Amino acid sequence: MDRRTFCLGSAAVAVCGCADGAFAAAYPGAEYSGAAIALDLVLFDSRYAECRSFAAVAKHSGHATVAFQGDVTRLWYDTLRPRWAAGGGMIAGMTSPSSLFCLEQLAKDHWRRVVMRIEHRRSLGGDLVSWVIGS
Amino acid sequence: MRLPPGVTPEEFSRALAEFEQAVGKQWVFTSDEDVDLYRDAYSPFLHEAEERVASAAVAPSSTEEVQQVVRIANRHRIPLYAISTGKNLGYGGSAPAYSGCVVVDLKRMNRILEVNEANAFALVEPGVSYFDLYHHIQERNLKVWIDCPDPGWGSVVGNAIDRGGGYTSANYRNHFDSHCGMEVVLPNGELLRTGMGAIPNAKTWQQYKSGCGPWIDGIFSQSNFGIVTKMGFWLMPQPEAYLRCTVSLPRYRDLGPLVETLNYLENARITSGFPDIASPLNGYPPLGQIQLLFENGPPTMTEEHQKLLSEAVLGYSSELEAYGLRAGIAYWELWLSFYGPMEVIEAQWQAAQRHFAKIDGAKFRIIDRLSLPIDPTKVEQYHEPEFGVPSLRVFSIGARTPWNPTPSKGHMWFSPIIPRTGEAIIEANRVFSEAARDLGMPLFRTFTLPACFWERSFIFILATPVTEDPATNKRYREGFKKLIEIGGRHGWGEYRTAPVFQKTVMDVYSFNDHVLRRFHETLKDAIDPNGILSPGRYDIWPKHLRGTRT
Repeated sequence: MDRRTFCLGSAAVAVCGCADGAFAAAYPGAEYSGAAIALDLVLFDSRYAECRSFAAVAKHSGHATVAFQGDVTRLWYDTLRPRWAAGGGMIAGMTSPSSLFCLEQLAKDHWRRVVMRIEHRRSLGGDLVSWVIGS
Repeated sequence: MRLPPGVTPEEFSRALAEFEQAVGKQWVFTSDEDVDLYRDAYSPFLHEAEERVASAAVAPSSTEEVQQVVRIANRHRIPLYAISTGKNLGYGGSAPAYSGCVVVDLKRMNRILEVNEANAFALVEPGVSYFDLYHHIQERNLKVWIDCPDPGWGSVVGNAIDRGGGYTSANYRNHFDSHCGMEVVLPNGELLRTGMGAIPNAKTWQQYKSGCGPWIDGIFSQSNFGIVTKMGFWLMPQPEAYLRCTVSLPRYRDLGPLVETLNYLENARITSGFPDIASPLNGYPPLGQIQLLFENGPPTMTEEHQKLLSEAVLGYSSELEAYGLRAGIAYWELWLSFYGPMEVIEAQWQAAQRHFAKIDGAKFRIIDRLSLPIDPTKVEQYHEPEFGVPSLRVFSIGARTPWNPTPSKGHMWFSPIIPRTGEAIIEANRVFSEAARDLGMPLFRTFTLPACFWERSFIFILATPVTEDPATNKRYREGFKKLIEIGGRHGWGEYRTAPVFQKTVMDVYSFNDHVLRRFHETLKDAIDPNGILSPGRYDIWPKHLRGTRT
């Protein structure tokens, strides 16, 4: 594991781990699965190696992952919309800021919000962001 | 606790308690983290104290609850600001026109009350999004299409009463025009139905628009005279086939004849799909393809082409035109689309070619010939809204890419209506490019083409960026206002605007000493004497707040 992979793995642990631990303490009403909080899904933009690494760490931690590429329309329509309409839980992910912007606006329709956001500055190809959306 | 202006904490607490009784405690929001969800995500006041924000929010689930909320607000003189889903980003989002209003969030009212396939109409509540209505139709395999804006995440009702537009056939693209019948909670809490809906047990509420007597639906759009709780819409019967074609024209002077011919073909209903004017020689793509430019980068140009383009004035130089003729690059390219039975639309395309062939050098090409319905897995190959499919792909425009290294934090739409002539396109470019340059505004830097959402007029839709820097945002806001005023002096007005610009825009509509504004406010005083409903929206202020007009 090189430094870059380690950092991205750390981001996944930070995001998913916070959802599992510290975040759970802040939201005591949330649903727990054993010691870990139930993250419904971990989303990642499979165009970016960093996001794929992030998802690999999340998957290794036992989280269900869903890949998409930039446009969140199908992800929203097929996956998130029915889940959130039915209640659903928290989700986390690593995406471009513009994809997160869309998800954040869509989350508002279900009285959900971005509760954690870590920005990853990159010199080329656009920044990335890892995040948690909760209620 | 945030407070509406002029309301004491005690009075506000009493009102909130009554709101809770009316809609349920969990549907009244007062904490900062909840109320912040109603901030305008594209606010031109980013990081500034002047940002317009709500004091609280209340989310009723039925018309009866809306009536109760309005009556409570009247008793306690609480200003309300109704939103459907608040997705009109660039035009104000979910934030109130008057800071301190309680947002009446209607997205729990998300029932699709009827979709009638046989007569192609729908009746929906304001919380129904284009995605919801599309899903409802797909799930039931109904043979009707919606017409949606791009992005398609907003409310069907909200977009229509904000007078938004879409991309399918001309009969449906103007979303307010394609509505039929409203239910409205008036500012005193009474319930009104318009058109045939005024007849108890009406049988044609969604089939005949105007009923009898004055047709008042228009006053509930871009206004603050009531809260629309149901609205009917005409839908497009699913067409059998689709044809998309281009007409390429070689010379700058061809723009006028292009527009004249297009106007005839549209007004005669020979073409009804969304027309899209591009200029390959100016590097200006059709609106429906603009996201590809952001996804894949701008078209490659030779150095000579780039140099000639940089020296062109109002998109023209004789050298640029000669280069285009030599290199086989069209000056203008009109994208036409047709919906209907294949034999009909092929014949319409033949007729269109016959008319455009009168312009010397016109060339024709078929881009797509499709049988419908399109395979849902393949619709992403096209501009989805032209097939009545809502999408969010347009947000790729805002992404950071090598050709867009500093994405903005949002934008304010500058969207003046101009006449549908080639001369008007050039004149508007002359006026606005000079003004934008003088004002330091990042608009009209290159020759800019308008969009063809509406029949009989053009509209420019240009994004003025919102940045992280308050000083830049202030300069852009002031410049934006100047552009509105300059447009007004030339007889051009905005079709829609964010609250921060609504006074400036309505100042332009000044015929006969602003009689239109005076009429609006006479109505306001008559039907909302306490001035509780959306004060300031489209610069219509209740009497007690007229001194605060901003």
